[in-house]
Amino acid sequence: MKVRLFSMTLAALAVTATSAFAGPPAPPDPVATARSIDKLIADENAAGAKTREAPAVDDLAFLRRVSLDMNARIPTDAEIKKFVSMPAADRRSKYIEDLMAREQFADRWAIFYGDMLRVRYGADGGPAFQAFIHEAVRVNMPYDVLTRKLLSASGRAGSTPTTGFILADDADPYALTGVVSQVFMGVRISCAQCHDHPFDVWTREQFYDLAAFFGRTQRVEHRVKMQILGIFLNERADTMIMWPPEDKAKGKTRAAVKASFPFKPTEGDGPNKHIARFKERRDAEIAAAKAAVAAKGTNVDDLIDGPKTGTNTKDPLNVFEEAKAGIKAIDLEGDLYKASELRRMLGEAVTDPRNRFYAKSMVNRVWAELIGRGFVNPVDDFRQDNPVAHPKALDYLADEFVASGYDFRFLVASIARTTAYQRGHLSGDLPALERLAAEKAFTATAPRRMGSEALFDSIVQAGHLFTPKHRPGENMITVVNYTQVAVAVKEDPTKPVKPKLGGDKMPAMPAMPKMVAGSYDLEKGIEVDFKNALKNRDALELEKMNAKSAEELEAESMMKSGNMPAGTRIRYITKEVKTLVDDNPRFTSAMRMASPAPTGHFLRVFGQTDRGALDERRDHSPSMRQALMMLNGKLTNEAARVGPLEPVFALIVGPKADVDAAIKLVYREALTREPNVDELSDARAIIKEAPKPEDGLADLRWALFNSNEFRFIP
Amino acid sequence: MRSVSKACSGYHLSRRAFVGASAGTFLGMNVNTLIARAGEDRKATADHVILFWNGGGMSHIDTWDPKPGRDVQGDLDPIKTSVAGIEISEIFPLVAKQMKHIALIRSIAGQNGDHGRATYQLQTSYAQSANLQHPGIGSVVVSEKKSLGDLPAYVTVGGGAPKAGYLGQTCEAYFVGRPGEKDPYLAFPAGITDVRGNKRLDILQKMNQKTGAALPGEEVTGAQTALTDAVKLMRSPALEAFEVRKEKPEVLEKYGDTEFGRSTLLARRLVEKGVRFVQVNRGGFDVHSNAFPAMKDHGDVMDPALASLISDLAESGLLKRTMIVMLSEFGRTPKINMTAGRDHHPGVFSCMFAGGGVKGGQVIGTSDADAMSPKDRPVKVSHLHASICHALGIDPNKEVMTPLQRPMKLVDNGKPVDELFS
Repeated sequence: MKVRLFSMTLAALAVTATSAFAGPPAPPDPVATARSIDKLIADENAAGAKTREAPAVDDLAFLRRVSLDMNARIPTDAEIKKFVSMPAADRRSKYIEDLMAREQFADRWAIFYGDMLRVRYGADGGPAFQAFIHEAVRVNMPYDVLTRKLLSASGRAGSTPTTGFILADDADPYALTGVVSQVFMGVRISCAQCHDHPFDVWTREQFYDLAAFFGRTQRVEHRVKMQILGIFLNERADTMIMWPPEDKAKGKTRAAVKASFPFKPTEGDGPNKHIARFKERRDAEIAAAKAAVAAKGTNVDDLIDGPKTGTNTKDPLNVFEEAKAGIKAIDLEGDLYKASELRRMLGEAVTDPRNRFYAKSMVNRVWAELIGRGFVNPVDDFRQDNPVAHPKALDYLADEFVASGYDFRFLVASIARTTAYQRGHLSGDLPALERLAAEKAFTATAPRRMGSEALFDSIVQAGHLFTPKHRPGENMITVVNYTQVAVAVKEDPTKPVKPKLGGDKMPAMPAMPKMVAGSYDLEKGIEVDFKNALKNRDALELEKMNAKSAEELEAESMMKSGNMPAGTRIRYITKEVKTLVDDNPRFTSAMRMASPAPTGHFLRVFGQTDRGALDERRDHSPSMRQALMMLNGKLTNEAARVGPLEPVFALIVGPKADVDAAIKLVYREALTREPNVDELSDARAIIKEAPKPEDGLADLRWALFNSNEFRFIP
Repeated sequence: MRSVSKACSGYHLSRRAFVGASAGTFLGMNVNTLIARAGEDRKATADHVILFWNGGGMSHIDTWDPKPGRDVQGDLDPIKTSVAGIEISEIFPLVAKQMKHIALIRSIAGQNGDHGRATYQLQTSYAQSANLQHPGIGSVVVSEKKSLGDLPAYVTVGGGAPKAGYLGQTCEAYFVGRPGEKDPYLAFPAGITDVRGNKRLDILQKMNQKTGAALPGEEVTGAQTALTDAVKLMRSPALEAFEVRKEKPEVLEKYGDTEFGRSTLLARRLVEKGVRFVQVNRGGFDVHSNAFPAMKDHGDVMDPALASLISDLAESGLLKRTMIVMLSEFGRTPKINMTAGRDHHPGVFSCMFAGGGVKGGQVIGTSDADAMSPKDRPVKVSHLHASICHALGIDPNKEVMTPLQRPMKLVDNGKPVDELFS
């Protein structure tokens, strides 16, 4: 039997709870949950000073808001029509379901997870990790299952995608202690690494207790000669975490710290019996999944390679982990890594339903993401002197999240159905403090700027740039590229080396953004093929190695190590390459790009972080760079330009032109609403004054994309 | 969202940040008081900084700290400079003639032999941490000093600058990929005439005005300020500074017709237009093998540019108010390895200062006989940053608030190197 090593079976076996088995209890109802939250918030508000209330946004504003929040895109004209044709009574609720069922829901919320977990495509095993997180959102893997996978993973970077989380911090136990606490519990314990926390209860000893779970974790590079063949996450025999800490150890004997989880679990169940409901649900789900597999007679090959057929590959629980672990025992390279008992225990402790911080932290994050402010702010700063705004509402929602089986989609669906979510903004004519008080009480929302990816994709969508809008050959241009080519040069020791003027031969600093002269590379969105990133790539890598000659491998290794034989140098020559290309603009979604984008890229300029430091969060403050990119960038300009293959063309050019209809269409496509009387007459004047009506329409559209109304969510 | 004690070139604090700052207290002291206390005014000796970042770890022995007669010296000989008693490497014959303007520090005691961590510390003064992104020295400077003209306060050429971290987006560097390259974002795109572009701006202006109070908040008004600034920059005559090739051919030739030469020339032109901080990036110093021909090549490229910059600025008088600094992440091993290269050596290394109040013609600190460790006057990395701040009249110990309301000093406990200015 051929055993494929480290096989990834995330979208594993078809699991369908058929009627033959007693299915899990009905999940909590998001609509009812939302109503309860609204009531709790109102009750808690009633205890304080009365705040102003903004009414719910109107239907179209709701449509725009919810499309951006669920799919990171503004609605198309067709979607607007579909929405308004739905029965008014429950179309908001129905449309949330519609949006959540789309692929883009996974794209959009994978970005949320990506920021939270600091998923970096460029890190060890990064591509597979990014793809894994996307897939986890797509199949709605329960949040606790996901967390345990990330914490307990061992194995090879890439082949075992879940190792990406711990490898992102180089498996450093101290860094990971801060990460686990802040990311999953919303508690910033890092200060306690060097001293007892200044504002909170955490002591240095507790920090070390937690760090001890990672005390044996190590990152191992598997090398042959100078080539790194693989990076592994492994457990070593002894722990690195010793007490007292190095700076206090003088004259004392240091002892290994026993791992202990410093977050105290609650006792007993909650008022709504959420722990009992959680257990009942989880047990039933596992039983149903196991029974389904038994009924299908799954064999070992299926377990390793995933199903050969079947469309419903949803296996969010991965109930076959145990079976697979057995098979991995015959893993040929198994001695390269060991499963971590300590981190498995940590995963259990973190995700224990009695660990209040865990559910509350996630609820708070998602609430803040959708409403613009959390119950606790910053979202990952739960501490005694940073009080929760509406503790009862947060507790209730956290309990229901647990009872749902840590169902992420349930959480999103519930929040999106609250009154709090649907509130409009207060007028800027009101005093700032009154507005703020209302926003804190969740009786009004503050305008949120679209995230980078949403802004990018919305312009692409409204400008019809996902598909070509010009005919082939209509956009021919000459592109000049400069590339640096490495050349190995044998030196003649009898002749002095003198650089030729005009030749820039030194390599530029590595890891800097490549920006081609005069181009707009910083606005490109390059989609990653997530499926491919999740494939087992060991075989491919071996193939690539075999394809190279021994000399090439040697040369490559010399290049990497810098060990060039005497008399040989690598020179870099700049080559100018001219190409005639059909520059028919077409943009792909920014949501599936390798993240983070390079420095200076549109996404970074608009706030995407490099997902490095734990304290970094998206900075949505405006900058001149943003303004320049929107004013003069290729994206906005091409999106504005009218092309013959887009719907508005026939309304502005030719015998059937209908200027008012064209104006209304671009308003709907850009702002999700019709223009008012003033705007319509302004737009008519713009088009009339332009040399060609389609140019005038492009100018109007350009201004719409650049407007504040476009980028701030209604 | 950043809650910073101040906003860089001032797109106003976001509303949430403002609330955080005004409500937050640190150890019982009101945040604003804390800031006011730290911000005492200091006498500046410089208005501008040009920082040359030599990525890869530049050999100290083969540049600023030769060890004639020792085995560690290698193939490159020391040469005399215009200041008696100071010798530097033969790769800098023209720079040697400018020695009266230059102060060398030969006793920097580094801590990191890893490119990433050393770069981080040399550029931010702080040790890298998983929790916090510290700002680069350029961001620190522009958080305190606005641009003196229309151009952005902080420009990086030929590579990325360190991030602004907790100082926020407005303290990030303006990025120029290649010197002389036209930044496509500073003009209307191809096919859009000025008339049409300006028409578009008018339409936009009107549209945003109509939205008015319906979109309240600092972020919205900030966006308007950013837009106004962007248009001002697009229309500024100062933009001409970016067009390096407009210099006379003999000037271009003098700086060396290389990317580095043009970058250096650009730095001069930017400073002349009021830019506060220019970072010029260059790589290729990681010479693990064949170090000496490589360093000779580096000299051929850097020497004419650096010497011309110093002499031009001295001639125009701007050198008095412009501090030139050349930094790298570490030095290189005195021991020459099997492949005639040198490996990473943070134990001791050198850097160069000139102008902006720096007393030239001196060497501060010495390394031991074989340039292994500092012999006297060890200088901490953060002292270099503190010296830059000091020249600009910025208190390096001033505290700013991170998003977590953690007070951070602008520079990690650095003390200015007094000898530089005496």
